[in-house]
Amino acid sequence: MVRNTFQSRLSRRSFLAGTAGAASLAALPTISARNVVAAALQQAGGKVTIGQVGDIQNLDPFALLFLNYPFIENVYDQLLRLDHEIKPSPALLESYTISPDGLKFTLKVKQGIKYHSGNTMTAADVAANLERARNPDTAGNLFQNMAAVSKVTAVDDTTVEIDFTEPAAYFESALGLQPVVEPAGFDNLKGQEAGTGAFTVKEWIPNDHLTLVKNADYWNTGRPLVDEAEVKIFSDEGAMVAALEGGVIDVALSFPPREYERLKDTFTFTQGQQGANFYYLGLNAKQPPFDNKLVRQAMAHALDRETMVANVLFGIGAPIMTPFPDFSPAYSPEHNQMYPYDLDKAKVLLEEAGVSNLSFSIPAPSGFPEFGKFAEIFQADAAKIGVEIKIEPMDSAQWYPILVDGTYEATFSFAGGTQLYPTRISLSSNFPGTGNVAWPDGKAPQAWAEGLAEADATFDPAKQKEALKKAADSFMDEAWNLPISFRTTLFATAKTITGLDGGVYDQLRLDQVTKS
Amino acid sequence: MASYALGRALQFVPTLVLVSIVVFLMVRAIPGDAAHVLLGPTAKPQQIAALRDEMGLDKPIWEQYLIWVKGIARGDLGRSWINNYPVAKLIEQKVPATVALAIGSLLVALGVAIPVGIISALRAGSWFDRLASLYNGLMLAIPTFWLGVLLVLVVSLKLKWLPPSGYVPISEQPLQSAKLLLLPSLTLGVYLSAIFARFLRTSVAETLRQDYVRTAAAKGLSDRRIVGAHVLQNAMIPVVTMFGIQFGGLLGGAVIVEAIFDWPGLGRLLVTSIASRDYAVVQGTILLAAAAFLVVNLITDLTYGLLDPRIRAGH
Repeated sequence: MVRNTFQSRLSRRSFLAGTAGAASLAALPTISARNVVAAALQQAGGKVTIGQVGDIQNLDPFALLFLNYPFIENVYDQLLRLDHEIKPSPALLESYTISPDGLKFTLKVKQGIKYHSGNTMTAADVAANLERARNPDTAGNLFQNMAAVSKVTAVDDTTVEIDFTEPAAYFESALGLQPVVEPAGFDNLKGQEAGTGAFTVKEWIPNDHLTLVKNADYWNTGRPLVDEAEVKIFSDEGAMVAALEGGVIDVALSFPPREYERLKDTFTFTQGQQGANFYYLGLNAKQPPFDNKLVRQAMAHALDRETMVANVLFGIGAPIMTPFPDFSPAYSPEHNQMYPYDLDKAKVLLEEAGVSNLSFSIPAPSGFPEFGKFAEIFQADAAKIGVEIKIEPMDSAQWYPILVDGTYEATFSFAGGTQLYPTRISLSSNFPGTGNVAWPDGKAPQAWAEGLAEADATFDPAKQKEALKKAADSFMDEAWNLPISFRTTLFATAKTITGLDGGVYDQLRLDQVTKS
Repeated sequence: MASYALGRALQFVPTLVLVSIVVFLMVRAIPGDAAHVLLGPTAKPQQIAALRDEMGLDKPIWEQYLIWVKGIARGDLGRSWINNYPVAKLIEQKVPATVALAIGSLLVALGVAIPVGIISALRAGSWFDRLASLYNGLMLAIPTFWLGVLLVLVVSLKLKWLPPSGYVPISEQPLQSAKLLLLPSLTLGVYLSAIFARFLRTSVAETLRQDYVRTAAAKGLSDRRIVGAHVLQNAMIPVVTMFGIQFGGLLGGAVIVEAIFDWPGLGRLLVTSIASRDYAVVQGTILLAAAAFLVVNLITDLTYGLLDPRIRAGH
């Protein structure tokens, strides 16, 4: 049975209203309460073996790549820990406050936290990590969260102040992604960890396995529950599934949806975070024919999302037209019905645009086979309205620059971040208001850019919603990125495993895992 | 013999230099680079530029090549651009699994091919020969990946006789290591056995028609003596050639079988490195595989002399 871990969540709006108004003290549950629960859950150790297709790239938690998800929240701790309701609980911070004008965050750092080296974490270390995230050379994927930060200061042994050039409402969720690395280890993170997390790295053999062992001095007493965790690296999905069936591994990450129906009664399946990622068709508005809004809207009507979800994603997902999940303050049910599959309507729009003999290409990167399958369905439908689509197979490394530099005509891809705060959608290169690779001079539609900026600049939920509506209305009308379905991560676990948690961006959390 | 071996070894140098240039240029001719792979699709242009600079990708090609070659001259294959691991260490970690799979596969192949090839030749046209021909055709026709998947489904998942995947060094758990080696070795070995058996059958049949074999029979030697002492020794030469080529190839990795059985060999390392544009690892692995291939072929050539006195005598 597929279990949605994102049930009965608080909306982002209600969370903000409850905690972060104009000037707020984010009152976090006490650590001792969590420890009582942990102690009650504590069971005998053992070893859990996890399978992943694709190799871990390095041991740097600033590199928020899918392939690094197995260790990021197990070897390292973040400043805050976000649950599936995007509700923070204490991790390395005791608490934080936001100034009335929203231009200063004051962080109270938890005391007595030890790195795996045995050294004690300090407020200066936290500041050094935030500075590392501000430096484009070292920030990895955390760089985008720091755009509005002007200064980071460790004011005493327990306090860090962060000053902003403009308010940044998304920054609270960014604290949930910000790890703390022992600064002495900054330069060696490609191959050597320096964390505070529940597990330490015992052995890492690239392209083979990563072995984690329990951190006996972990600050969150009673966690983790298993003694050892091994991440086995596979290069083939079928081999990973066979290993799960054969008992070689206990957990399969990013389980292939095509195998779900066959094995749904054999293993426990858990869906990842709703809205963590979504598939879309990106159209390049910098050049004809997609510089014409009517042509883009025609393509939106030519996408048979239901067939794509059923045939390509094997029903693991749901057709969407807006990228925002239904719990998001940017969600609108009307938006989610704006571009139904309607080839007649698409044809009319193309005629209105005065476009005929339309022809363009779509890359099909080998690392994302679903893109090629989406493209085949789209190609067949487009042919019915006289549009020729050429599918260009390539490998993923060839496709990344095409996406990041915006040199495609059209491309399937996926983006995410909307579950954290709606404006985080702008982290992908063809979504931001400025510096957008899909628009001339990097300038996305004005209402979209303004809406995003205004939503970031206020902590008032009503104003946020108003700004987000402005942005989302523009996004839907301009139709340069056409959502298809949420990209739902499936975790498959043996029946002997309990407590597995895919975090808010589908990273792996092992601290509550038990194996019977 | 020693001077011959030395002469051949010296020929390795220009060959390896040529290989190094071709590999170096080819990996850079593929679109995309490691900076994009490492930073992922949300990277900002300034981050990509900074990483490219750090990796030295902005330097002229000839300068990048010289830096690499100077490293090799010092015995340093460089470091992975993705995880900073020394390339030599990465390769060293994969070599035992690769060699184990190569040896396992060849044991299966020779274990089947030698009796099948010899008996087929000695009993040409018999039911055994026809059955062997059918086996050879079938094993050559069946795609390796299909056989591998079939073995996993039937032997591992249905019958539960052997684990479906994994690797442990033979020095750590010999029995488990042998169990894990069996299916991948069978998958590769039966294909190779068909090649070897065909070569051996043809070679033995041809040797049986030689005058010296007829002479040996006329002298009254037993069939066993004739085959053992006169036929096999000469008939093995083409088989040894094929063995050398296949063994050298297996040392470069068996990509598909490694993927199916989660076997951590050089083939998987190479494919992963190509996909992530980890040039340093790709170059180092291919260079080493080329060197291994040359050494195995040299040993093969030297073996001819042991098998055939005419070659040993320099005729």
